[in-house]
Amino acid sequence: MTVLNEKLEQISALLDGELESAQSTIDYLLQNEQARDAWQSMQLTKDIAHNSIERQASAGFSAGIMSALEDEPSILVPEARRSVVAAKKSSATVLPFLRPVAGLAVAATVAAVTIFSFDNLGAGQPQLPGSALATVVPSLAPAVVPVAFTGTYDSSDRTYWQGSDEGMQDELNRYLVDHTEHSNPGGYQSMVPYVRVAGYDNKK
Amino acid sequence: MSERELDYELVKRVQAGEKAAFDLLVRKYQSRIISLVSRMVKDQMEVEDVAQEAFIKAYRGLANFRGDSAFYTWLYRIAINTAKNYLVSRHRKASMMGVDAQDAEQYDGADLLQDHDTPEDLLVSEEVRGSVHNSIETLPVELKTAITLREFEGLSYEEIAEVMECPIGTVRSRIFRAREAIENNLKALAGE
Repeated sequence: MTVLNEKLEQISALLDGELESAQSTIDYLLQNEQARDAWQSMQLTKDIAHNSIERQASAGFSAGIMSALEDEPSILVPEARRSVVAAKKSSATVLPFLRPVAGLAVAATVAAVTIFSFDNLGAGQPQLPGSALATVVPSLAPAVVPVAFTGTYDSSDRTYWQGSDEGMQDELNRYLVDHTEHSNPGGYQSMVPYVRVAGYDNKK
Repeated sequence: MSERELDYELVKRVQAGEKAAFDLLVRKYQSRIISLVSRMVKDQMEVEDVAQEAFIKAYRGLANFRGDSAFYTWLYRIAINTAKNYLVSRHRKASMMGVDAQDAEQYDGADLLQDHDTPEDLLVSEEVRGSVHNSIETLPVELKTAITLREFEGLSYEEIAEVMECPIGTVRSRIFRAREAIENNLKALAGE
């Protein structure tokens, strides 16, 4: 079967409302005058067989209308535009083997972004000596009554405070947990600030 | 895609700026609209002009078509209104020319709203119709069965495939080949 015959067969099925994916056939019809003539004569045959017409259109009737419409502005309904573009996209030919590859590429990208974001969490974190930070905390909050607290800040495995005063230790650790979401690890703005990560003394 | 969905798809194409899609709608419905108008308008010379005006009005109104009714129903209404307007304007013109409204029955324009068939047109139509039916009669049995079940019994391709015990693709091909044969006979009749 020739390509033209195959197309004409699709047009015949389209007129019967029996073509599933019609977009490419409609595109073909819009681009091909011969196909449009076939569309017209097939419809005429159907109309005659159904006894639904008494009179035929003269040759060039549709051409006369289209010529009369030449000066008319094209209609632009935004919703229709979106719908047609979406339908064309969905019917666009995509090589089947490319689909899983494209899926993998998207998954790999998401994974990479996630991994590098988490990597930044620890990589750029300055390793401050525990005592230095312990003295800074009261000065940052002058309204708070300074309390003597001897302890160490352990960031090797988990980020938490360890000290002799358990009440103070719990309070500081709660503070850390509550403010984790505001941290900007490594100085890089990434997706991590939007993810709540709370690690609190899981060794206990 | 059903016939109604197809029409709506073409409408959406027009609404999206593809004017050429309107040509497909015109070619699909032109003979039906002309036949409709010719039943209302006596002057056969005017029929195509009125039908053309109806299509142009339809194009201008397409921006507001939402698909609540079938496109053909909508177009049919426009064609009827256009024909009525034409008849009213003709009647006004006739009145202005001094024809007494009470003499309307004698006046040529009084029966404009009645159904009319120009004998010449009918003759052509009968000939064409006869050619279509003769063509179907002379088709090979598989093609004849497929096209008959489709056009006269209104069966879907799937139902025809079941009846004829063959794949849907074969049904599609047989219907197309039948139409091709009928069309060739029509062309021969028209002397092309």
